[in-house]
Amino acid sequence: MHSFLTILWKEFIHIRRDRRTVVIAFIFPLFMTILFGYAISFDLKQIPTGVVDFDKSPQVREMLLSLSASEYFNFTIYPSVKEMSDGFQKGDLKCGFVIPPEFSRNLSRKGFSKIQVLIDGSDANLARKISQIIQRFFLKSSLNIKFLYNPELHSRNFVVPGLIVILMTILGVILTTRSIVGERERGNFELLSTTPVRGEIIILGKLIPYGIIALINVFIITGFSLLIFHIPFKGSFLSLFFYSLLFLFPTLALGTMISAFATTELTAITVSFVSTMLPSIILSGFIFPVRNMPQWLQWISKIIPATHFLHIVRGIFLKGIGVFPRESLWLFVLGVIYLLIATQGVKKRVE
Amino acid sequence: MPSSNDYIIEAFSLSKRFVGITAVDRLNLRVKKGEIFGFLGPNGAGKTTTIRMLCGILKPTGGTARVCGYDIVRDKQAIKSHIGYVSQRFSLYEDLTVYENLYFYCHLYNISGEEARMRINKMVKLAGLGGREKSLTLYLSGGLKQRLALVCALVHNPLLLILDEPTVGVDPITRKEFWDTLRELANSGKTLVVTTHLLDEAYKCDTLGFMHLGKLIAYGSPGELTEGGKRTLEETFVQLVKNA
Repeated sequence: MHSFLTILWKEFIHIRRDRRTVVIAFIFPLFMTILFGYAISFDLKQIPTGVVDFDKSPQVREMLLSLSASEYFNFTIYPSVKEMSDGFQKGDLKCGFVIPPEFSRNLSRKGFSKIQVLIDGSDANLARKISQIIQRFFLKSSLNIKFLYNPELHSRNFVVPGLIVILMTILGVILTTRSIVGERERGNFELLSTTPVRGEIIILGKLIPYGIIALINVFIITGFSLLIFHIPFKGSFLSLFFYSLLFLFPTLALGTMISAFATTELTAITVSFVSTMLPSIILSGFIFPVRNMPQWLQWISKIIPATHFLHIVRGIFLKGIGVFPRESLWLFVLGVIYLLIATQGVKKRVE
Repeated sequence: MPSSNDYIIEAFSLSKRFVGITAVDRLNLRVKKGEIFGFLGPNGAGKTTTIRMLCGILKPTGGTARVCGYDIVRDKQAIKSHIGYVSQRFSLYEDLTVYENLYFYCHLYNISGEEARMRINKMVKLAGLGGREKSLTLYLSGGLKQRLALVCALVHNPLLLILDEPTVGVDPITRKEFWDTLRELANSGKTLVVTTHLLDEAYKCDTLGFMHLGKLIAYGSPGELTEGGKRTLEETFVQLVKNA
């Protein structure tokens, strides 16, 4: 215990005196939160929409008025289809409505009527979003869809909690591999192994400080998202703390595993970036839904700890769930597997 | 004949095979208490592997050895608290101060409180680092770093001190002073094992062991090996390597 505390003490001095570690540990997460919270919003507001109205009836005006009240559309009236096309060409418009002359007549006679909707397809993602929004509006009378848990479907509510997962992965893996491989590169491990301190204690003493930093960040980011971005938080801080602690197990094991095999600090950072951070961002469901991936990719996503922790964090934030037996089991089993591989790697390295 | 108690290191047929190569081949070695033992040999001769086994870091694949009276496999933890190790690269924490480095090693050996403070002060004096306690190790000269590495390995008052090429990259004057300190330590009863490439340093040792291709091919005092100065050590070793 005494030697463990000694190593902790030394590690905290390293952290305090290395400006790069402080930046990665505290500035970078805040920067990412602000970036994802403000800049990267997948929500659409005020879509520039052109209207060519051949009907010019009060019904049309009423319809446009109610649509613009939703704040999704920002209408501009064009006298002809030709001029509206120019608007698309110049990039002023993303969407256009053409209202036929018989619109109001059909509406009063048959009870329904058709309009033509044009969408700029050059940005496929945007086009899909716009088409979803429009379908939602025009089916509203016949279908009544209610979104549970995230009623406004704000992507921010979805993305910012996920950011906790990504940042914990980055901090847990990058900082620990940097510190372990760096210490080995400088020959300090060789020296430490001639002292009576056991190898596991040395590694643990080097992992725990970064675990603590990652945990502090969970609460900084959570506080930030609640205060600045008003993200709903339905669950309890206690379960967020407990599951973050559990998530640290596979994450730090992964960091140890990478440092067991990497020879230099640079390799360690590159390997952790490619093997941990990219998959955690792309395959975990942070941005792209896992359900839409091919089966084999879905299996790969299962061995990424972030996938399971993402379920947990979103469950806590948006649904207020308190226990996650399936995800906990996954995190625990992954932690054990990565730890076993790491131990084998360390044994090989000593030889 | 001295009894076995006079030896601090005794290796019997010690071997280490890695996949494909035999790094240490049935090595028999004895180091007397209180002497400076010079461990010589070209790169890759097996010196570092031997030292690692003697420190209890590496497990031998054959043979046995006793260090400070303890078996290197069974009692390796006990050995570790009786030896001090100075590595080639000094391996100090450069972002820690002189005091913090010493404090760190004291606490690793479970020395704390007043006892730690006393020993740190003694070591600072021994290294000639008085007044520099609060400087970051990064800003020390090569010679001072070397002395700090030496005293860090001495905080727990070990019986045996192992130094792996401790004078690489140090100027001649500092080297001489360093060897004077090593001699003082030996006079005070400590045993020192020093690996080196420099033959002028070899002359300062009490006993020399010369390793080549995993085997000990020469053993004796510098006087014995040069037959009382008939040849230089260099000539002796070149001849030995040729005949091997």
